Amino acid sequence: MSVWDETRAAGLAPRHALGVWLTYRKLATAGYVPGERSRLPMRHKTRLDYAVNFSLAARLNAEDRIVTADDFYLLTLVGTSVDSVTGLPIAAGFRVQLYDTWRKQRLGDPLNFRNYLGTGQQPHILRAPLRFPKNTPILVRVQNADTSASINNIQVVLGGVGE
Amino acid sequence: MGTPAQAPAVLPPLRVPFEYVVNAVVPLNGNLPVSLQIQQDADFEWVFRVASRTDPRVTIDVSDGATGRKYTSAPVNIDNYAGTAALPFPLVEPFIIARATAINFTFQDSSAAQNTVQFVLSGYKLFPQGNPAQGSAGLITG
Repeated sequence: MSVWDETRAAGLAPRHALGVWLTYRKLATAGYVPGERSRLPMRHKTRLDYAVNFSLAARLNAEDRIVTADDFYLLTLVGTSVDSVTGLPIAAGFRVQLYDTWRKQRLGDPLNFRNYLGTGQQPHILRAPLRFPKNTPILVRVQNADTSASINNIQVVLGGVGE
Repeated sequence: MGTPAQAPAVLPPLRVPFEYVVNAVVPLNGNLPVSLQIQQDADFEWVFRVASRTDPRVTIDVSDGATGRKYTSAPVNIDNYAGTAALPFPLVEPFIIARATAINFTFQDSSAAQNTVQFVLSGYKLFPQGNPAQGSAGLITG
């Protein structure tokens, strides 16, 4: 098979699949990423990353929101938890929960960020893109799980595709 | 006898691997705007985001130079935005940037030391099959 010209779905123009091959998986197997049908609505749309930042002392919690400027397809979840002074990762991290105000549903219970958010190297890729209509607030709730005197600099990034 | 294969109505573009590189030596606790010019010869299909830095305490902010449209709602930690050569950040749906477009980057350091950043847009140049040498002689067509 040639990735350059193979047609994988009848009636669709050939498209190579390199964009969805994960380098840490065997190339012979499909990565756990959205399939071609799921990705079709996202063709020719703009890549967009929403970032939410928090600086929290021990055990504190906070909530912030992003509002989707256009229709937004959520694809990847990434986050970090670092000491505000040293810049080093904080082992305890934080708990995180997302709330979809359009569907009026929590996107899961609060959970340790390492079980939910990936990294730039290995982002958490949703198996199917999650669409949010224009002007939808998405709430991000976090609770600092660190009990030391450090300030926990938290960033949660919702990556995806806008209009 | 099988049915003869029909040529697709629109031929897929010829893809040539290409890396656009943004180098930035960010002053300590300062910010540095850098503009990247996409070359005129071909549209660019952005597939992977890769970066290296001397300290992780640097953020990146990206916007379209022509329209001003932001690609990030707020500055993003470089380690949340890009991977490495071994583990690049995949844009699940590749993002096509029109040729001759400028992409603006702003790097902000908070490490209290000079930060040397290299950000790489890894992907493919898309050449029309009907005119694969467009631009090579200064002629832009199609």
